[in-house]
Amino acid sequence: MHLNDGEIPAEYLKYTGRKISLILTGIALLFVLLVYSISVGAVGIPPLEVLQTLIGQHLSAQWQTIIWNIRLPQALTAIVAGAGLAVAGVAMQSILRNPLGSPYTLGISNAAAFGAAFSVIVLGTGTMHSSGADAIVLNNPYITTIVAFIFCLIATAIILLISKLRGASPEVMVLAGIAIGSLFTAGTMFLQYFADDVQLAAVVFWTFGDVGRADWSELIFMAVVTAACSLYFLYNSWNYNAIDAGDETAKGLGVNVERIRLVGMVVSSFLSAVIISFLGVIGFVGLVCPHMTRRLIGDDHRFLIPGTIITGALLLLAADTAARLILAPHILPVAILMAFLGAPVFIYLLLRGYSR
Amino acid sequence: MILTINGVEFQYNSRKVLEDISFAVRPNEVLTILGPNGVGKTTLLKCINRIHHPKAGSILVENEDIMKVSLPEVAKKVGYVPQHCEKGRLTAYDAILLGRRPHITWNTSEKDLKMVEAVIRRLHMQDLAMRYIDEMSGGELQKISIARAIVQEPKLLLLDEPTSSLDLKNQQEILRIVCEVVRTHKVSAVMTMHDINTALRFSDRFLLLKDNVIFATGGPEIITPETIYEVYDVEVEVEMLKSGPVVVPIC
Repeated sequence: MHLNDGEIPAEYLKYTGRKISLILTGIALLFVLLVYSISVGAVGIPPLEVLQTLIGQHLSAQWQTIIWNIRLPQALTAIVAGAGLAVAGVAMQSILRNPLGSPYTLGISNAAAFGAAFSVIVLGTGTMHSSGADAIVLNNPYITTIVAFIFCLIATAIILLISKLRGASPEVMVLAGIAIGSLFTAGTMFLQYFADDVQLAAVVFWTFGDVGRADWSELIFMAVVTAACSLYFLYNSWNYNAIDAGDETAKGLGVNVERIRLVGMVVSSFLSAVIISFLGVIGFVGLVCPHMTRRLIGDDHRFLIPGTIITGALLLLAADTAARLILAPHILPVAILMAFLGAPVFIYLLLRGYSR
Repeated sequence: MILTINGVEFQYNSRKVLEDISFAVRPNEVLTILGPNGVGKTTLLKCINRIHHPKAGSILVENEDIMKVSLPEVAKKVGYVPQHCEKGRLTAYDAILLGRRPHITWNTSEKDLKMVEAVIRRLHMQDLAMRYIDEMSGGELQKISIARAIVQEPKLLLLDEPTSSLDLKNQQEILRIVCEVVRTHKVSAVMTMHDINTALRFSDRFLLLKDNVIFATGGPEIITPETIYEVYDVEVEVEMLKSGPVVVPIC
């Protein structure tokens, strides 16, 4: 067929240009927020000095230590974790064609938490040293990550198995996720019941998701996993658009729907598992951010996926900055603030509808 | 031949749906599959498009066995318009652009965008282009599905009840577009349809299915009161009008 006599309509270019502008604005906002987040805290550092320190100028040894050892890794962890959880959420929502898909609602966070508790209590990979921000020391975080990941996969496998059953609707899958979440929560409680005081404290403290936990090596590991998984999701953005149009339409367009669904769930579970096992459970990011972005940018995954990555990074960095300031000098784990903010924000988004 | 089917069989669990189906479709030909509900018309289209895997037999598109090539390669040769179009939240332009999926790796090219625009103009859908498809009627969605299948640049178009949710005017328009695409490009179309009179007007050949097997195949001459009674268990008369044969049920 020869259909090469068309012209790209200006209206369409304007339409896509607006979405690209929104994503670029998000990136600029993220940079501003990053500098602000580093500048505020118990010791205030002017934003300009933050920038100068970041580009390598040695202004003050104290600022140097605060920025490079405490605030920058924490802020970057918030960005990476927010981006990772949000992109995992948007992928799950697309793969399952269900707006309630997220690592939190599908029980994957609970499975990861159980895996981490199992690792800490049964395998002895975590101990509690003292009170304070670095109370938890995971002796071998990679084993904790692997165990959390294994339990994430088990939760994912159960959801996919149920989805294979005849007549299983997306609603059934979400309900299955809730059931799986409850099951793993029960398992975590069971382990906690038999744990000693130190282990129990370690597990309970672990579940308060906190971006202040990660050091540079863990941050780099999470960043590499998040970048790789995000690239995978971006590469598949056309496939997700096709799946949105219905499984049969997608298959007619050459999309191997079952494989995309399976691999997508495995990749998003892996990403969630890595972040959750390093930082603890941080809810609502994976659920709320895709919806926030949809309302700003629409459902086209070419723009929705990068947009959600930026929104997730922005939201968790903003929440973590607020969590550090809200009860200063005490630092609130970001998961607690997210839980308080997530539900009302989600309801607000549902009521507001699309702006497009 | 664009499509050659030999001895295709398909069953859902233990229930046989298609048995020993063999036929061929020539270039620039519109073939319509007729038959009562549940006889396997849609299943046959899904087998041709590899959505279903036949239990036996072979399906060749341009002499290539579709079971032996990758799904994107099948999609480059076969465009499918399903019976029910699901409403996503894309603009019509993007929903049609989706038809370029088999040809896209990372992102669309200028050629893809120009092709969509050309099809939009050819199908007189300029007013719909930037509207969101979840705000559209069934008929408008059907047109978008057909436009999407056209930008796939297939050799074979499969249309499952393409006029099921269209009013009379849109039925005529859509089928005229399908016929135009078939006549002006080296493309063939296989449709399923319930309206025999519409099928008579827009098809070159017919395939009548009964009890999961081919009952008759041929040109308009096979649409007789006898074959229709055999296939549908309904008494009809076939009247000859200036525009061609018309099937009239006897009340």
